[in-house]
Amino acid sequence: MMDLNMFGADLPYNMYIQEEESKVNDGWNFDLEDYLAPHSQVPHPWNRQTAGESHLDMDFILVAEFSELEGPREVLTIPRGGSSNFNITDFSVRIMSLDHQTTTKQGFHLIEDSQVTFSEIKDSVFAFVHHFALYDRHARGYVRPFAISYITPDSRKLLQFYEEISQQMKKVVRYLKYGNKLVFKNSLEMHLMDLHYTKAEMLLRMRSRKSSHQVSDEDVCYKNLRTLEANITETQNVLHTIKLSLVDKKLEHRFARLEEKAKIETPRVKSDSWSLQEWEEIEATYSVSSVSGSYDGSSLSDNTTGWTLFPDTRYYRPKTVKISSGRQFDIHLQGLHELCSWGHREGMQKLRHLYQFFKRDMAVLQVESNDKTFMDPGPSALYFGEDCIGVNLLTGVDKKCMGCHCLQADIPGLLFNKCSSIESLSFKSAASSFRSVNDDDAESMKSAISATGSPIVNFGLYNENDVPNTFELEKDNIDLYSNNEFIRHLTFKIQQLDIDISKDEPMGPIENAEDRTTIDNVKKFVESFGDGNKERSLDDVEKLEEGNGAISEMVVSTSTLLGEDFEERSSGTSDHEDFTCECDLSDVETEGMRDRLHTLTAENVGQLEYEKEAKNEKEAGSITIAPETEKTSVLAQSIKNESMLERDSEGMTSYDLIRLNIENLIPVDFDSPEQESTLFPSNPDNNSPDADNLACGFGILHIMTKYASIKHVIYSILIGRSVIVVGTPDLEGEVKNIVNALKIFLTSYHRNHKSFIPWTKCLPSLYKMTDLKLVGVCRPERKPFDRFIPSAIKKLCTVFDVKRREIFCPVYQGYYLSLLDNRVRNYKMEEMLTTLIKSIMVEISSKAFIYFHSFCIGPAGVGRQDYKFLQQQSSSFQRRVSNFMAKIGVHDSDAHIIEFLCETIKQQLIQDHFQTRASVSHMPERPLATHNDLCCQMMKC
Amino acid sequence: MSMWQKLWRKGDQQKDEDKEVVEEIEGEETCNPYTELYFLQHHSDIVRHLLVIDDRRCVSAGDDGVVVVWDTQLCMKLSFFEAHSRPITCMLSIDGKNKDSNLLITGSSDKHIKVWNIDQGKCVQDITEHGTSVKCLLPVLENMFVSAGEQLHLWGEDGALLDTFPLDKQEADISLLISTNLKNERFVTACDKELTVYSIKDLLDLNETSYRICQDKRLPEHLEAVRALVPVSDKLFASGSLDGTILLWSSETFTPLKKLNTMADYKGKANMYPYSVQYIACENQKYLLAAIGCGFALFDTVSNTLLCRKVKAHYSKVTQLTFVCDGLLLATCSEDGSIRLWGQKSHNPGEQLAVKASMGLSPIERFLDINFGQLHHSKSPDHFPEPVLLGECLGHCGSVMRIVDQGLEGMFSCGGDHLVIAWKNSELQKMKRNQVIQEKVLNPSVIV
Repeated sequence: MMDLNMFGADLPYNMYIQEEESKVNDGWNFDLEDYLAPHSQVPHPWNRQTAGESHLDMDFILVAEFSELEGPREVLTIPRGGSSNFNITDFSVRIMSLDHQTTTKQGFHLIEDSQVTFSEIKDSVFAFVHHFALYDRHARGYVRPFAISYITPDSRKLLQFYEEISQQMKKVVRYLKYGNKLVFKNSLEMHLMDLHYTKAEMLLRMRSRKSSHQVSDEDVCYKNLRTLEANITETQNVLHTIKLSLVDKKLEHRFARLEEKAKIETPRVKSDSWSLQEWEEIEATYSVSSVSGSYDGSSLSDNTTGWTLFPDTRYYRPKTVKISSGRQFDIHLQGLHELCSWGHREGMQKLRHLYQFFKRDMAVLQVESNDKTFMDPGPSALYFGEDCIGVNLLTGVDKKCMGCHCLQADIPGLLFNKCSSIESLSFKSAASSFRSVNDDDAESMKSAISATGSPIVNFGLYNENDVPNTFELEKDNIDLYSNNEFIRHLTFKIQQLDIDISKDEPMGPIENAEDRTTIDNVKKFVESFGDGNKERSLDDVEKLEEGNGAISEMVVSTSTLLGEDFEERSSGTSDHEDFTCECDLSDVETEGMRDRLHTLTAENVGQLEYEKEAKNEKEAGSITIAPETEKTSVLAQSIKNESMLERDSEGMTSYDLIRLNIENLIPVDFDSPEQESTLFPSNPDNNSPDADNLACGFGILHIMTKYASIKHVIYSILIGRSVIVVGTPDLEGEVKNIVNALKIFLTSYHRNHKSFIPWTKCLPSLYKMTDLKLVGVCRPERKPFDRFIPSAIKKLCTVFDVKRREIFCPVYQGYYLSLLDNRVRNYKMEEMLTTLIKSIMVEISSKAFIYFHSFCIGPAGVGRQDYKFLQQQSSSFQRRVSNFMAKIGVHDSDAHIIEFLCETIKQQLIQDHFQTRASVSHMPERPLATHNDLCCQMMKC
Repeated sequence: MSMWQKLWRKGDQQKDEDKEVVEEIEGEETCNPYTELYFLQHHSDIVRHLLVIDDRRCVSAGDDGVVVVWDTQLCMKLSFFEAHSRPITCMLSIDGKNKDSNLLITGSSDKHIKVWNIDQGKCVQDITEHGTSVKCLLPVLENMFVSAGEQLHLWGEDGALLDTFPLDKQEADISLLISTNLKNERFVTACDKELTVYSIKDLLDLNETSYRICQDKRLPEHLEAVRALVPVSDKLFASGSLDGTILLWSSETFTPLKKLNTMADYKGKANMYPYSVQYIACENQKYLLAAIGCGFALFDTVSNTLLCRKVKAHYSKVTQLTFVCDGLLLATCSEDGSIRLWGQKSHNPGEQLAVKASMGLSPIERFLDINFGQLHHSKSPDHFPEPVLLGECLGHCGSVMRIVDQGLEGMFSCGGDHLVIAWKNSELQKMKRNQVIQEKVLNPSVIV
């Protein structure tokens, strides 16, 4: 019973603890040299705090309560224990003595929050206090006053960041209060049922007793009944007021989701050692009798779901309550986590983030806030997918640094996306920005001090939490591709550092490749960096394939095919187990390093295979790949350089070698389905949730090779025409993959509004197509295609029927996408293709740049009102556009693309303009182009 | 093949013969100028009314009781009034006292009439004395208005009730109101099948003027309920009914002058009334554009001839029609959710339209591709070919209730899918955006 009780009430709490625990464990748990491991505390040169002078040596957050039993008391502090030499109790008395409840209204009413700053110059203690009230059925006047204070010795912090702290506090309290209101409502509802039940029972008893004619007894009964009646009315009134205020459906859904999630996850009863002080306190006083009121044993034992924020009251069995006119004040009052349920979990999490963010030195915060503007790309930047900026049209350059996006481009995407939550308040916004986590804070975070920018800054400052997070992912075996990507980024970084490779480094053990984690490899790789000869070949390749994924570069620099093998390869055998590699190094002395490099790459591949194995539980065959590759890499050492030279003389370009090599290392045989899973690790059949988390543009090579007419679909995306990918339920995986791959072309990839949906059960309304540009839709098997897609959708959107392999879209006739289409066959490595795509996008964008500056804001911007009629104006403008396009060498369909890209920028600029103008409360709607002038065709692909 | 199947087949074939094929448009639409659309969302129920206030603003109202003021140039919401608790049945835009403010009067089935100041975005007056569901509103005399439902009420400028005219016990409410002369003192009401003429008399009692509604005449009944009532000129008004008849009445003698479009079997299959008149619009004080069944027709009231018609223009009944692009195109909207653009066939459509547009012609002339001189001399009504479908605007996913033309700003439509859609020309919008960027965004000094 007790356990059940605990689980029920403290479910949200337990969840939080679990999360905490995982955070504690992660860290740099592999052996790095001290100097390589980032320090948890980076000492900064501007430390203003002079120890000893102040009573307070650090910032902390105090949650205090005015308890009706004990008076002002602290509830919890963040960090635990608060500041060492600071009298918290004394302080709580002081802040709670500021009575903020100034209303004189009678009866129950909702209490407004208030925020005050509090300063004690003598002790140099400054606090920002947010007073709020939570509702408790057992409390006096149903109200429990609470206050959250941010206490700091630096007064400037409060002054400078008043707005931000205030905003964040409000958000924390919003969670707490809303959770509390829901709990309170439930509690009242149950209480009301109890009261009604008691009343009914009492009436029944009275009726049966009527025969006995005991006047005095009857008197008591009537009195009781009156009290009961009064109680019912009161409860009803309070319930009514509370229900009226429960309007935040978004938050309610969020809590419901959390609860849903918690129910699915098997509840593990945690040991109490993780808890905060309040937890312990509750634990100590917890007893069956203390949980009086409506959540007593009887209700719980009947109800298997236990205590929940969203109970089904139908299953609640009411019970009799003791009738007393006055309220009892000797019962145990619920703790904060009981009062707020999921609100507590969310709120505390936010509060922690808030603390972690603001505890840093003023200077750091200031620098970050200044840097933020540079990290936030201006509205004049043109995006493709999530990480490609085609061009910055350089409007408002004086206001914002134009170079900002360069910085962003260098940051490994994965790290950027999965930055630690601890260091930055903006974690959620950063994560959701590209992953579209359903976080309602994404928008509001704009006001926070470190919006998108800070993760990068944080990475530099405190990266101890960032990388482990990534490893945590790996540990959980979430996605071997993120793993792969991580390595890619890491190695990429290493390469960027221009590190010399030492030649006298002893060879590392390579036998037990399977046992080693990739991290170890990286570590080894890192260790081996010292001084030595710069590897020439590596540099050469870098020049060749600059900007490509690191794996490809590594592979290229380490191993090439033997002549004979090459023959075989070209004849079509692509079994990767039997190939032999050779070293293409001219410098024999670097062989050791070479091998090391190879080991790394080979192991990566092995690891990939291995993990794929673990995931898909396939036959044991491919497990042997990893050691096999190892052997070949050892073999590679022994082979001399002559063959390499030979091939060169044969006119074989190094580029071809690269390609062929990659072909062998990463098997990309699209015809065989079992190989396909290498590209798509998530099996399409098992409704993989991973597909949503894949990197933008992942699988583009596959899609472009598989579907012949895909360039027309890409064209549709690039002229702003929404693309609807329709598939039957069995094609869910394929549709998701297509959407994910084509995402790379989306120009409206924005964190605040989602411009794509990988898979949805019903067709979105047409008006949503102004935002949604790429949608995967499930078509029920029995519904024919033509009836499933309404004519309006067919007219305004491009429809891609995956089942019948048909596309209905405007035909592309132009240069750029044909170029892309023609080159796809040359690529076997996705990294290269994405790079090509990006380069083509940049090229198109550069044309858009010219068009924008020389035409749009040039002569075409001058309003021409000389024509009275719409058609005349329209056709004269069209003529001028096509003339200009011809001048800059853009023809046919490409002109439409460039026009659309320019319009996107214009809309972004106008939107930004309206956003910054505070006086306007509404925004102009975004248009949807109909493309009447383009002829749509049905095409097979 | 069994006998039954044969019979079935035959029936099918007959059905096909009956059904005239609705024209479809395939491929590119070079004549369709509406290449960009904006979805204006706010309403939560059917949007039934659209009213143009000025060249920058229009107002929409619907069954959700909300009135929304839209900026037609930027396509954004300016303000909204949660006006009524029941559907809004009628709207009326009048000038305020000082002529510098726009007033909007809304009537609703919640029995309220409310007066709004659009510029300030607030309710000026809430009139509750109407007592019954308000069905229609009409401005009369100077700054007065009449409201009708179960009764007729005359309201003063400041919303004071001047007179009430109790109607006889009858089943239906007054559904349509028009004024028939320039001074607006005489008006016609349509109540089910019946038309009645009323006038407002001012009685001079000592110093005070009081107004009174008087019933002048009851007109002969239509066969079915009157669906459309429109003033044509000073001397003429027209009424259309469910049975497809359009009657022309003299505004002076109030006698029927001419019967247009009479149908023998007007009820059609399963009482669907396939020829019902849903809407009549008047052009140049003599041409009538009528939405009849699933098609439309253009009549000349002077020569009493049918100029041109399209029997099957839509899959479902046409709800409204209007000239757009200065008469180059005729837009029809229908319950099938589409707006269709009609014009004359030409070999080089884009070019032709541009040339036609440049000449100083009236919409009718442009639409028929003939000037009035020629028009008057032409004898045969079948001189004009059937209009051709030049474009289709698909965007609504429910029936389209109203369309209004906003000139260079394009066309606005509202419908049963709770949306107001702005149909614009993308080239013009591109130009406008260029202008906005140059003037506002790139020139910070202009930023307010």
